[in-house]
Amino acid sequence: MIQKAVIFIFIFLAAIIQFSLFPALFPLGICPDLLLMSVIFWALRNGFEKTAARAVLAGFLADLFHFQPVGTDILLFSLAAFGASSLAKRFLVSHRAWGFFFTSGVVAAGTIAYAVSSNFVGNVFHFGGEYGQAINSGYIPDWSIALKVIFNLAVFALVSRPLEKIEKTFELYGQRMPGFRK
Amino acid sequence: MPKKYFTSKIIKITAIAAVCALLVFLNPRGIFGPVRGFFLTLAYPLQKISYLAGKKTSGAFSFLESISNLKDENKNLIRENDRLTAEAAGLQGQKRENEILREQLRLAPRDKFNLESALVIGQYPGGLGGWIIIDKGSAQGIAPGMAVIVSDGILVGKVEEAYWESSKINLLTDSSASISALDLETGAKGIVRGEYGLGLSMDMVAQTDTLNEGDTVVASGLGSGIPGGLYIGKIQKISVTEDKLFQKAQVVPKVRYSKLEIVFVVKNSQ
Repeated sequence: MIQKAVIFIFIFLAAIIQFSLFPALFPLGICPDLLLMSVIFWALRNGFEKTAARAVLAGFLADLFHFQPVGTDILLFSLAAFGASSLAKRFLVSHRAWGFFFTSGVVAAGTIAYAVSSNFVGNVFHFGGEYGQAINSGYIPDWSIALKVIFNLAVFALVSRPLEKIEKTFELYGQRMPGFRK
Repeated sequence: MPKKYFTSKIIKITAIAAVCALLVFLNPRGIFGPVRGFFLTLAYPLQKISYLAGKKTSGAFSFLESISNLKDENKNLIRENDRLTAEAAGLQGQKRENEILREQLRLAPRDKFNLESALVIGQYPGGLGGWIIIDKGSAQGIAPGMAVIVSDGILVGKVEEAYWESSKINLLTDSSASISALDLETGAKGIVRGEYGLGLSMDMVAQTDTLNEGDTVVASGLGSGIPGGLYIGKIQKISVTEDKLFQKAQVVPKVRYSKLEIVFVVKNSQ
Protein backbone atom coordinates (compact mmCIF):
# COMPACT_ATOMS: atom_id res chain seq x y z
CA MET A 1 0.00 0.00 0.00
CA ILE A 2 2.78 2.38 0.99
CA GLN A 3 4.77 1.44 -2.10
CA LYS A 4 1.74 2.14 -4.30
CA ALA A 5 1.30 5.52 -2.65
CA VAL A 6 4.97 6.39 -3.13
CA ILE A 7 4.86 5.36 -6.80
CA PHE A 8 1.67 7.39 -7.34
CA ILE A 9 3.25 10.49 -5.77
CA PHE A 10 6.38 10.00 -7.88
CA ILE A 11 4.35 9.73 -11.10
CA PHE A 12 2.21 12.76 -10.14
CA LEU A 13 5.29 14.91 -9.42
CA ALA A 14 6.99 13.67 -12.58
CA ALA A 15 3.91 14.76 -14.60
CA ILE A 16 4.03 18.24 -13.05
CA ILE A 17 7.77 18.53 -13.72
CA GLN A 18 7.36 17.37 -17.33
CA PHE A 19 4.44 19.68 -18.15
CA SER A 20 5.32 22.76 -16.07
CA LEU A 21 9.02 22.88 -15.23
CA PHE A 22 10.52 21.45 -18.41
CA PRO A 23 8.62 23.66 -20.92
CA ALA A 24 9.88 26.72 -19.00
CA LEU A 25 13.43 25.34 -18.73
CA PHE A 26 13.77 24.14 -22.32
CA PRO A 27 12.51 27.05 -24.41
CA LEU A 28 13.49 25.42 -27.72
CA GLY A 29 10.48 23.19 -27.27
CA ILE A 30 12.46 19.96 -26.95
CA CYS A 31 11.48 18.69 -23.52
CA PRO A 32 12.67 15.40 -22.03
CA ASP A 33 9.98 12.73 -21.48
CA LEU A 34 10.39 12.11 -17.76
CA LEU A 35 7.29 9.90 -17.51
CA LEU A 36 8.27 7.77 -20.51
CA MET A 37 11.78 7.28 -19.12
CA SER A 38 10.36 6.20 -15.75
CA VAL A 39 8.06 3.68 -17.47
CA ILE A 40 10.94 2.29 -19.57
CA PHE A 41 13.09 1.96 -16.42
CA TRP A 42 10.39 0.00 -14.60
CA ALA A 43 9.77 -2.19 -17.65
CA LEU A 44 13.47 -3.03 -17.99
CA ARG A 45 13.83 -3.72 -14.26
CA ASN A 46 10.55 -5.37 -13.29
CA GLY A 47 9.07 -6.68 -16.53
CA PHE A 48 5.74 -5.81 -18.13
CA GLU A 49 3.49 -7.62 -15.63
CA LYS A 50 4.55 -5.43 -12.71
CA THR A 51 4.88 -2.27 -14.84
CA ALA A 52 1.54 -2.33 -16.66
CA ALA A 53 -0.39 -0.52 -13.93
CA ARG A 54 2.31 2.14 -13.59
CA ALA A 55 2.41 2.65 -17.35
CA VAL A 56 -1.38 3.10 -17.41
CA LEU A 57 -1.27 5.60 -14.53
CA ALA A 58 1.63 7.56 -16.05
CA GLY A 59 -0.13 7.63 -19.43
CA PHE A 60 -3.40 8.71 -17.81
CA LEU A 61 -1.77 11.67 -16.03
CA ALA A 62 0.16 12.58 -19.18
CA ASP A 63 -3.09 12.68 -21.17
CA LEU A 64 -4.76 14.85 -18.52
CA PHE A 65 -1.92 17.37 -18.24
CA HIS A 66 -1.24 17.39 -21.99
CA PHE A 67 -4.93 18.12 -22.78
CA GLN A 68 -5.10 15.31 -25.31
CA PRO A 69 -7.76 12.58 -25.55
CA VAL A 70 -7.47 10.18 -22.62
CA GLY A 71 -6.10 6.88 -23.86
CA THR A 72 -3.43 8.28 -26.21
CA ASP A 73 -0.47 8.21 -23.87
CA ILE A 74 -1.89 5.26 -21.91
CA LEU A 75 -1.67 3.20 -25.12
CA LEU A 76 1.76 4.54 -26.13
CA PHE A 77 3.31 4.11 -22.67
CA SER A 78 1.88 0.58 -22.34
CA LEU A 79 3.31 -0.37 -25.73
CA ALA A 80 6.67 1.16 -24.76
CA ALA A 81 6.68 -0.88 -21.52
CA PHE A 82 5.71 -4.05 -23.40
CA GLY A 83 8.40 -3.52 -26.04
CA ALA A 84 11.13 -2.66 -23.53
CA SER A 85 10.37 -5.64 -21.26
CA SER A 86 10.22 -8.07 -24.22
CA LEU A 87 13.58 -6.87 -25.53
CA ALA A 88 15.10 -6.97 -22.02
CA LYS A 89 13.97 -10.57 -21.58
CA ARG A 90 15.42 -11.52 -24.94
CA PHE A 91 18.73 -9.62 -24.88
CA LEU A 92 19.74 -8.62 -21.35
CA VAL A 93 19.62 -12.15 -19.93
CA SER A 94 21.89 -13.58 -22.58
CA HIS A 95 24.18 -10.57 -23.04
CA ARG A 96 24.52 -8.85 -19.67
CA ALA A 97 27.83 -7.21 -20.60
CA TRP A 98 25.99 -5.17 -23.23
CA GLY A 99 23.60 -3.76 -20.61
CA PHE A 100 24.62 -0.10 -20.98
CA PHE A 101 24.44 -0.11 -24.78
CA PHE A 102 21.24 -2.07 -24.79
CA THR A 103 19.55 0.31 -22.34
CA SER A 104 20.69 3.34 -24.35
CA GLY A 105 19.34 1.69 -27.50
CA VAL A 106 15.97 1.04 -25.86
CA VAL A 107 15.77 4.66 -24.63
CA ALA A 108 16.64 6.01 -28.09
CA ALA A 109 14.21 3.68 -29.87
CA GLY A 110 11.48 4.42 -27.34
CA THR A 111 11.98 8.17 -27.76
CA ILE A 112 11.75 8.04 -31.56
CA ALA A 113 8.82 5.62 -31.58
CA TYR A 114 6.93 7.75 -29.05
CA ALA A 115 7.59 10.97 -30.99
CA VAL A 116 6.42 9.46 -34.30
CA SER A 117 3.34 7.72 -32.82
CA SER A 118 2.34 10.72 -30.74
CA ASN A 119 2.59 12.96 -33.79
CA PHE A 120 0.53 10.54 -35.89
CA VAL A 121 -2.26 10.37 -33.31
CA GLY A 122 -2.19 14.17 -33.02
CA ASN A 123 -2.54 14.46 -36.80
CA VAL A 124 -5.46 12.00 -36.80
CA PHE A 125 -7.35 14.29 -34.45
CA HIS A 126 -6.36 17.39 -36.39
CA PHE A 127 -7.67 15.91 -39.63
CA GLY A 128 -10.82 14.65 -37.92
CA GLY A 129 -10.09 10.96 -38.27
CA GLU A 130 -8.73 11.06 -41.85
CA TYR A 131 -5.91 8.53 -41.49
CA GLY A 132 -4.67 9.00 -45.06
CA GLN A 133 -4.12 12.71 -44.57
CA ALA A 134 -2.60 12.05 -41.15
CA ILE A 135 -0.07 9.66 -42.70
CA ASN A 136 0.68 12.02 -45.60
CA SER A 137 1.38 14.96 -43.33
CA GLY A 138 3.35 12.70 -41.04
CA TYR A 139 6.35 13.56 -38.97
CA ILE A 140 9.81 12.91 -40.31
CA PRO A 141 12.31 12.99 -37.43
CA ASP A 142 14.93 15.71 -37.86
CA TRP A 143 17.85 17.06 -35.83
CA SER A 144 15.54 17.91 -32.92
CA ILE A 145 14.84 14.22 -32.30
CA ALA A 146 18.60 13.62 -31.77
CA LEU A 147 18.59 16.35 -29.13
CA LYS A 148 15.50 14.81 -27.53
CA VAL A 149 17.23 11.39 -27.41
CA ILE A 150 20.23 12.98 -25.66
CA PHE A 151 17.96 14.76 -23.15
CA ASN A 152 16.04 11.54 -22.51
CA LEU A 153 19.25 9.56 -21.96
CA ALA A 154 20.37 12.18 -19.40
CA VAL A 155 16.97 12.11 -17.68
CA PHE A 156 16.99 8.29 -17.68
CA ALA A 157 20.41 8.30 -16.01
CA LEU A 158 19.20 10.87 -13.42
CA VAL A 159 15.92 9.16 -12.62
CA SER A 160 17.15 5.55 -12.53
CA ARG A 161 19.09 5.98 -9.29
CA PRO A 162 16.25 7.27 -7.09
CA LEU A 163 13.83 4.78 -8.65
CA GLU A 164 16.28 1.93 -8.06
CA LYS A 165 16.60 3.05 -4.42
CA ILE A 166 12.82 3.10 -4.00
CA GLU A 167 12.46 -0.39 -5.52
CA LYS A 168 15.30 -1.82 -3.39
CA THR A 169 13.92 -0.22 -0.20
CA PHE A 170 10.53 -1.83 -0.68
CA GLU A 171 12.11 -5.18 -1.66
CA LEU A 172 14.09 -5.07 1.59
CA TYR A 173 10.96 -4.28 3.62
CA GLY A 174 9.22 -7.17 1.91
CA GLN A 175 11.99 -9.57 2.88
CA ARG A 176 12.46 -8.38 6.47
CA MET A 177 8.77 -8.02 7.33
CA PRO A 178 6.85 -11.00 5.98
CA GLY A 179 3.56 -9.31 6.81
CA PHE A 180 4.50 -6.15 4.87
CA ARG A 181 2.19 -5.70 1.93
CA LYS A 182 3.54 -4.02 -1.20
CA MET B 1 5.06 -29.17 -25.13
CA PRO B 2 3.15 -26.76 -27.39
CA LYS B 3 4.24 -23.14 -27.08
CA LYS B 4 1.75 -20.98 -25.22
CA TYR B 5 0.89 -18.02 -27.46
CA PHE B 6 -1.66 -16.27 -25.28
CA THR B 7 0.42 -15.56 -22.22
CA SER B 8 -0.97 -13.26 -19.56
CA LYS B 9 1.39 -10.57 -20.83
CA ILE B 10 -0.12 -10.71 -24.33
CA ILE B 11 -3.66 -10.75 -22.95
CA LYS B 12 -2.91 -7.76 -20.74
CA ILE B 13 -1.40 -5.62 -23.51
CA THR B 14 -4.20 -6.56 -25.90
CA ALA B 15 -6.82 -5.58 -23.33
CA ILE B 16 -5.09 -2.26 -22.60
CA ALA B 17 -4.67 -1.53 -26.33
CA ALA B 18 -8.34 -2.34 -27.06
CA VAL B 19 -9.68 -0.13 -24.27
CA CYS B 20 -7.35 2.73 -25.18
CA ALA B 21 -8.14 2.45 -28.89
CA LEU B 22 -11.85 2.69 -28.05
CA LEU B 23 -11.28 5.70 -25.79
CA VAL B 24 -9.06 7.48 -28.31
CA PHE B 25 -11.06 6.91 -31.48
CA LEU B 26 -14.54 7.23 -29.99
CA ASN B 27 -13.15 10.21 -28.08
CA PRO B 28 -16.01 10.68 -25.63
CA ARG B 29 -15.91 14.41 -25.02
CA GLY B 30 -16.48 15.71 -21.52
CA ILE B 31 -16.33 12.39 -19.68
CA PHE B 32 -12.86 13.03 -18.29
CA GLY B 33 -13.38 16.79 -17.91
CA PRO B 34 -14.19 16.67 -14.17
CA VAL B 35 -11.26 14.28 -13.58
CA ARG B 36 -8.93 16.61 -15.48
CA GLY B 37 -10.30 19.55 -13.46
CA PHE B 38 -9.67 17.70 -10.20
CA PHE B 39 -6.05 16.85 -11.04
CA LEU B 40 -5.34 20.34 -12.37
CA THR B 41 -6.75 21.87 -9.17
CA LEU B 42 -4.59 19.48 -7.14
CA ALA B 43 -1.51 20.25 -9.20
CA TYR B 44 -2.07 24.03 -9.43
CA PRO B 45 0.24 25.21 -6.58
CA LEU B 46 3.07 22.90 -7.66
CA GLN B 47 2.58 23.81 -11.33
CA LYS B 48 2.86 27.50 -10.55
CA ILE B 49 6.03 27.05 -8.49
CA SER B 50 7.63 24.71 -11.07
CA TYR B 51 6.90 26.94 -14.04
CA LEU B 52 8.12 30.12 -12.36
CA ALA B 53 11.24 28.34 -11.08
CA GLY B 54 11.89 27.06 -14.58
CA LYS B 55 11.46 30.52 -16.09
CA LYS B 56 13.82 32.08 -13.53
CA THR B 57 16.46 29.41 -14.16
CA SER B 58 16.09 29.80 -17.91
CA GLY B 59 16.33 33.58 -17.49
CA ALA B 60 19.54 33.25 -15.48
CA PHE B 61 21.14 31.17 -18.24
CA SER B 62 19.99 33.68 -20.87
CA PHE B 63 21.47 36.51 -18.82
CA LEU B 64 24.85 34.79 -18.63
CA GLU B 65 24.71 34.26 -22.37
CA SER B 66 23.87 37.87 -23.05
CA ILE B 67 26.70 39.41 -20.98
CA SER B 68 29.02 39.26 -23.96
CA ASN B 69 26.52 41.21 -26.06
CA LEU B 70 25.79 43.95 -23.51
CA LYS B 71 28.20 46.59 -24.84
CA ASP B 72 26.86 46.46 -28.43
CA GLU B 73 23.29 46.22 -27.21
CA ASN B 74 23.77 49.32 -25.06
CA LYS B 75 25.08 51.31 -28.02
CA ASN B 76 22.13 50.22 -30.17
CA LEU B 77 19.63 51.07 -27.45
CA ILE B 78 20.99 54.60 -27.02
CA ARG B 79 20.70 55.16 -30.77
CA GLU B 80 17.17 53.71 -30.81
CA ASN B 81 16.15 55.89 -27.86
CA ASP B 82 17.23 59.06 -29.65
CA ARG B 83 15.32 58.06 -32.76
CA LEU B 84 12.14 57.24 -30.82
CA THR B 85 12.23 60.50 -28.89
CA ALA B 86 12.18 62.41 -32.18
CA GLU B 87 9.43 60.16 -33.55
CA ALA B 88 7.26 60.60 -30.45
CA ALA B 89 7.33 64.34 -30.88
CA GLY B 90 5.99 63.96 -34.40
CA LEU B 91 3.26 61.48 -33.41
CA GLN B 92 1.34 63.83 -31.14
CA GLY B 93 -0.63 65.18 -34.05
CA GLN B 94 -1.56 61.73 -35.25
CA LYS B 95 -2.96 60.77 -31.83
CA ARG B 96 -6.09 62.87 -32.25
CA GLU B 97 -6.64 61.57 -35.77
CA ASN B 98 -6.40 58.00 -34.42
CA GLU B 99 -9.13 58.68 -31.85
CA ILE B 100 -11.46 60.04 -34.51
CA LEU B 101 -10.81 57.08 -36.82
CA ARG B 102 -11.42 54.56 -34.02
CA GLU B 103 -14.77 56.13 -33.29
CA GLN B 104 -15.68 56.03 -36.94
CA LEU B 105 -14.67 52.39 -37.36
CA ARG B 106 -16.37 51.49 -34.06
CA LEU B 107 -13.25 49.78 -32.66
CA ALA B 108 -13.52 49.01 -28.96
CA PRO B 109 -11.19 51.28 -26.99
CA ARG B 110 -9.14 49.23 -24.57
CA ASP B 111 -10.13 51.15 -21.48
CA LYS B 112 -13.64 49.75 -21.92
CA PHE B 113 -12.56 46.18 -21.15
CA ASN B 114 -12.83 44.45 -17.81
CA LEU B 115 -9.46 42.72 -17.65
CA GLU B 116 -8.27 39.94 -15.35
CA SER B 117 -4.51 39.65 -15.18
CA ALA B 118 -3.03 36.16 -14.99
CA LEU B 119 0.36 34.49 -14.75
CA VAL B 120 1.31 31.76 -17.20
CA ILE B 121 2.02 28.57 -15.21
CA GLY B 122 2.34 26.02 -17.98
CA GLN B 123 2.65 25.75 -21.72
CA TYR B 124 2.51 23.27 -24.56
CA PRO B 125 5.70 21.21 -24.26
CA GLY B 126 6.33 21.63 -27.98
CA GLY B 127 7.35 25.20 -27.16
CA LEU B 128 6.29 26.91 -30.38
CA GLY B 129 2.77 27.85 -29.33
CA GLY B 130 -0.37 25.77 -29.07
CA TRP B 131 -1.72 26.38 -25.61
CA ILE B 132 -0.77 27.83 -22.25
CA ILE B 133 -2.18 27.41 -18.76
CA ILE B 134 -2.85 30.46 -16.59
CA ASP B 135 -3.36 30.76 -12.85
CA LYS B 136 -6.93 32.09 -12.99
CA GLY B 137 -10.10 30.10 -13.56
CA SER B 138 -13.84 30.04 -12.97
CA ALA B 139 -13.30 31.17 -9.37
CA GLN B 140 -12.21 34.53 -10.82
CA GLY B 141 -15.01 34.69 -13.39
CA ILE B 142 -13.09 33.23 -16.35
CA ALA B 143 -15.25 31.33 -18.84
CA PRO B 144 -14.57 29.55 -22.16
CA GLY B 145 -14.65 31.82 -25.19
CA MET B 146 -13.12 34.89 -23.54
CA ALA B 147 -10.36 36.69 -25.43
CA VAL B 148 -6.85 36.77 -24.00
CA ILE B 149 -4.54 39.72 -24.68
CA VAL B 150 -1.16 41.07 -23.64
CA SER B 151 0.06 44.64 -23.08
CA ASP B 152 -2.45 47.09 -24.44
CA GLY B 153 -4.63 45.07 -26.72
CA ILE B 154 -2.53 42.50 -28.60
CA LEU B 155 -4.70 39.40 -29.02
CA VAL B 156 -2.87 36.14 -28.25
CA GLY B 157 -5.66 33.60 -27.90
CA LYS B 158 -8.95 32.50 -26.40
CA VAL B 159 -9.98 30.65 -23.24
CA GLU B 160 -10.76 27.06 -24.25
CA GLU B 161 -11.33 25.37 -20.87
CA ALA B 162 -11.79 26.97 -17.45
CA TYR B 163 -11.22 25.02 -14.23
CA TRP B 164 -11.57 26.29 -10.69
CA GLU B 165 -8.14 27.91 -10.27
CA SER B 166 -6.62 27.56 -13.74
CA SER B 167 -7.58 27.81 -17.39
CA LYS B 168 -6.31 26.50 -20.69
CA ILE B 169 -5.77 29.20 -23.33
CA ASN B 170 -5.72 28.19 -27.00
CA LEU B 171 -3.16 30.45 -28.66
CA LEU B 172 -3.77 31.99 -32.10
CA THR B 173 -0.87 29.94 -33.50
CA ASP B 174 -2.59 26.65 -32.64
CA SER B 175 -3.79 24.78 -35.73
CA SER B 176 -7.37 24.67 -34.41
CA ALA B 177 -7.58 28.44 -33.82
CA SER B 178 -9.55 30.66 -36.22
CA ILE B 179 -10.55 34.29 -35.68
CA SER B 180 -12.39 36.57 -38.06
CA ALA B 181 -10.13 39.50 -38.84
CA LEU B 182 -9.78 42.55 -41.03
CA ASP B 183 -7.01 44.55 -42.65
CA LEU B 184 -7.04 47.89 -40.81
CA GLU B 185 -5.75 49.89 -43.79
CA THR B 186 -7.93 48.48 -46.57
CA GLY B 187 -10.87 46.92 -44.72
CA ALA B 188 -10.36 43.51 -46.34
CA LYS B 189 -11.99 40.75 -44.26
CA GLY B 190 -10.66 37.24 -43.73
CA ILE B 191 -10.05 34.45 -41.23
CA VAL B 192 -6.78 34.30 -39.27
CA ARG B 193 -5.70 30.71 -38.57
CA GLY B 194 -2.82 29.18 -36.67
CA GLU B 195 -0.19 27.13 -38.48
CA TYR B 196 0.93 24.33 -36.16
CA GLY B 197 2.44 26.79 -33.69
CA LEU B 198 4.74 28.30 -36.32
CA GLY B 199 2.79 31.42 -37.27
CA LEU B 200 -0.48 32.84 -38.53
CA SER B 201 -2.15 33.08 -41.90
CA MET B 202 -5.08 35.18 -43.05
CA ASP B 203 -7.30 33.11 -45.34
CA MET B 204 -10.55 33.47 -47.26
CA VAL B 205 -9.86 37.05 -48.37
CA ALA B 206 -11.88 37.87 -51.48
CA GLN B 207 -9.94 38.46 -54.70
CA THR B 208 -11.65 41.86 -55.02
CA ASP B 209 -10.24 43.03 -51.68
CA THR B 210 -6.82 44.63 -51.36
CA LEU B 211 -4.05 43.38 -49.12
CA ASN B 212 -0.68 45.11 -48.82
CA GLU B 213 2.50 43.93 -47.16
CA GLY B 214 2.94 45.75 -43.87
CA ASP B 215 -0.80 46.28 -43.29
CA THR B 216 -2.08 45.83 -39.76
CA VAL B 217 -4.46 42.95 -39.04
CA VAL B 218 -6.96 43.27 -36.18
CA ALA B 219 -9.87 41.17 -34.90
CA SER B 220 -13.06 42.18 -36.68
CA GLY B 221 -15.35 41.37 -33.74
CA LEU B 222 -17.66 39.24 -35.89
CA GLY B 223 -19.00 35.91 -34.69
CA SER B 224 -16.45 34.51 -32.25
CA GLY B 225 -17.15 36.72 -29.25
CA ILE B 226 -13.72 38.33 -29.52
CA PRO B 227 -14.06 42.13 -29.23
CA GLY B 228 -13.22 44.02 -32.41
CA GLY B 229 -10.07 46.07 -32.77
CA LEU B 230 -7.65 43.83 -30.93
CA TYR B 231 -4.26 43.82 -32.67
CA ILE B 232 -3.19 40.51 -34.24
CA GLY B 233 -0.14 41.20 -36.43
CA LYS B 234 1.22 42.58 -39.69
CA ILE B 235 0.86 41.13 -43.18
CA GLN B 236 4.13 39.80 -44.55
CA LYS B 237 3.58 37.73 -47.67
CA ILE B 238 0.52 37.65 -49.94
CA SER B 239 -0.42 34.77 -52.20
CA VAL B 240 -3.41 33.20 -53.91
CA THR B 241 -5.01 29.94 -52.71
CA GLU B 242 -4.59 26.82 -54.85
CA ASP B 243 -8.14 27.04 -56.20
CA LYS B 244 -7.47 30.72 -57.11
CA LEU B 245 -10.73 31.77 -55.46
CA PHE B 246 -9.27 33.64 -52.49
CA GLN B 247 -6.18 35.52 -51.35
CA LYS B 248 -4.04 34.36 -48.49
CA ALA B 249 -1.44 36.23 -46.45
CA GLN B 250 1.12 35.31 -43.83
CA VAL B 251 0.63 37.37 -40.68
CA VAL B 252 3.55 38.06 -38.38
CA PRO B 253 2.46 38.33 -34.75
CA LYS B 254 4.07 41.00 -32.58
CA VAL B 255 4.36 38.69 -29.59
CA ARG B 256 6.66 35.69 -29.08
CA TYR B 257 4.25 33.08 -27.78
CA SER B 258 6.95 31.01 -26.10
CA LYS B 259 7.91 34.01 -23.94
CA LEU B 260 4.50 34.87 -22.47
CA GLU B 261 4.59 35.48 -18.73
CA ILE B 262 1.62 37.71 -17.95
CA VAL B 263 -1.63 37.84 -19.95
CA PHE B 264 -5.00 39.54 -19.52
CA VAL B 265 -8.37 37.86 -19.95
CA VAL B 266 -11.08 40.13 -21.38
CA LYS B 267 -14.00 39.31 -19.13
CA ASN B 268 -16.46 41.74 -20.72
CA SER B 269 -16.75 45.16 -22.21
CA GLN B 270 -17.58 47.84 -19.65
